[in-house]
Amino acid sequence: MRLATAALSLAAAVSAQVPYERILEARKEPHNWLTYSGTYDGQRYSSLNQIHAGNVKKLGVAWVQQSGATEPTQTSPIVVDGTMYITEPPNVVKALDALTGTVIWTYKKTIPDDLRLCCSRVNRGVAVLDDMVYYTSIDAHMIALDAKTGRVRWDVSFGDHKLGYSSTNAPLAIKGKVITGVGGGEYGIRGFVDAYDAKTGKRLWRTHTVPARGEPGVETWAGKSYESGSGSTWVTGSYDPVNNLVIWGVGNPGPDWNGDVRKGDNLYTDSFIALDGGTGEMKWFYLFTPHDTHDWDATQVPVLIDGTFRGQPRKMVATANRNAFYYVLDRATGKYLHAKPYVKQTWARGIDDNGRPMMLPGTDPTVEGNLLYPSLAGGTNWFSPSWSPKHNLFYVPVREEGAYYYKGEAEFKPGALFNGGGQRSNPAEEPYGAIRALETDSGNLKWEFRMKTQASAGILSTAGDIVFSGTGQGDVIALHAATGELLWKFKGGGGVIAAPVTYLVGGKQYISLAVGRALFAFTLVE
Amino acid sequence: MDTTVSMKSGGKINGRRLNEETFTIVVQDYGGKVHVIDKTNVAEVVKDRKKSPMPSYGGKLSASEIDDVVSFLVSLQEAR
Repeated sequence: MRLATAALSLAAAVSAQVPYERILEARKEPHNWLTYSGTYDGQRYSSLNQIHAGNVKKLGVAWVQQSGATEPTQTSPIVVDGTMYITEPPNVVKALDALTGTVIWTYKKTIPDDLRLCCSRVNRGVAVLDDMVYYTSIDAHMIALDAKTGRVRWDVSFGDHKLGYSSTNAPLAIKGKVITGVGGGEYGIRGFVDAYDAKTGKRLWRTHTVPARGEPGVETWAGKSYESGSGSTWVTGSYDPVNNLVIWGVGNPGPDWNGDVRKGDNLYTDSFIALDGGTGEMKWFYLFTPHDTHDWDATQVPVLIDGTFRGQPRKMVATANRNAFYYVLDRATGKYLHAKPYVKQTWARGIDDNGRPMMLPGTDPTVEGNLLYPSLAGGTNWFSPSWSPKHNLFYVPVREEGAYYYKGEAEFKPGALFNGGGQRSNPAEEPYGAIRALETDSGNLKWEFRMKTQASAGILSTAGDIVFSGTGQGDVIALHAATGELLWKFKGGGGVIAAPVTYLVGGKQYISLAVGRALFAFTLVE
Repeated sequence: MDTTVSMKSGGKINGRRLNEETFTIVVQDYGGKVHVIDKTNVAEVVKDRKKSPMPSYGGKLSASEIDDVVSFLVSLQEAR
């Protein structure tokens, strides 16, 4: 019986088609996981409830896919009608049978040896559209693969790896286009968001995150500092189809920790930018951390919420930023609505009515080292948050730690590391992590689940009243979505640096999450 | 790090923390025995970064004896 089901699943794989309309309505087919965050809104929430708070204790391992790589697996799987598409470091895409874990095909990209990377050869997943799978490789190529066979349809370069351009994000597929950001924020690149014709690979638009001479915003960069301003875009954004807005997070200005050479606000680094899906035109931006000197990228997944704000219906963007504040913005305009710290911070008195932080004096890095909260890894980082419409809670993986920030030399040389300092941990404290549930409109803490080490995993919430995540020491955990109570745990034996997804195949719901260098699929065990 | 784990059952384990995770803590007591402890059974964990398991030499040497030790150590540096 099980073999027959597997055969059916494989048969379904070769006929899978994912037109844009299916991704647009992904909420209506919760048995699949069709885009990075599950749905365009970035909520990483599933209405599946076969696995629920009452039976999650029966969760067990269905299968494991080992990568064999030295780098950790960070993929967030895509699941289409029984086929799962994943990436593995440093250069692999695989299609798997989602029921059994059987490999259907493997694609391996040839990558150069002379990459310039801040943070190892990782990748966070693929996108699907129609009959293709889209992958961005570590050497900054966008590659379209045949979903049935893994054969290359087209391959375009979008940055010179010798100058520090790279890519680790899962692309975002919208109608007729596939969109990507770029890595390289520690190499003085000029960041951008790109859109490519999904069928041909022709570049349709590029929107830079750092203005050029004569462009609006360049006045926020002293001298010619914009020429090495960074503003990478290394985490997948979200999409508002009603307003046709691609909303994407932008990373730190370059150099990271020495702001002396780039006086000014340094637009559009550390911002959310909202781009017209058709043209790439910037419709609005919101700057979280003006003139950042602490590497607080705004590269968190924007969470688009149709909810209530102060008692009134509102279309919002919510985010817990790396700078320690939780923000609520208006989605159509980017207007600031509210902010509140969600972890310890010592750099700002608060956020003023216009949404600008009221910075405290003496918070810049120094040659001797300056203790500040949060650390450069932030109150959170790229790990996906989740929002539950059922509980109206925003779930965020947090890191409670400070650091001594150092300022160093910052001379720009193309292709060379350009960070101007660094940080050292504070030996007097023991940092820790947590999963925190915040009330959507206020950011008030509803509950927290403490973890021994700083969070590094994303979060999935489900209609089964469960929040799934992981710990830095290899535990997969299921918490009650309303209370944070620990419901189930599994020792996976490696740090969890990935985000969970869920799907249903063969009549059973699965939870899939990478642990260490392996991808696990869990289901209820009778 | 010197660590004292108070168990809900009433006992205490004092020793050196070998490892700690979200759900467990591992302590080697000063008799050498290693304890792998499930935190659900723990009432309190007290850690003292400043306390050293090494016995104090305070008061064991006179001022002139300390001078002799320091002189000896300095002579080693000069010899190198």
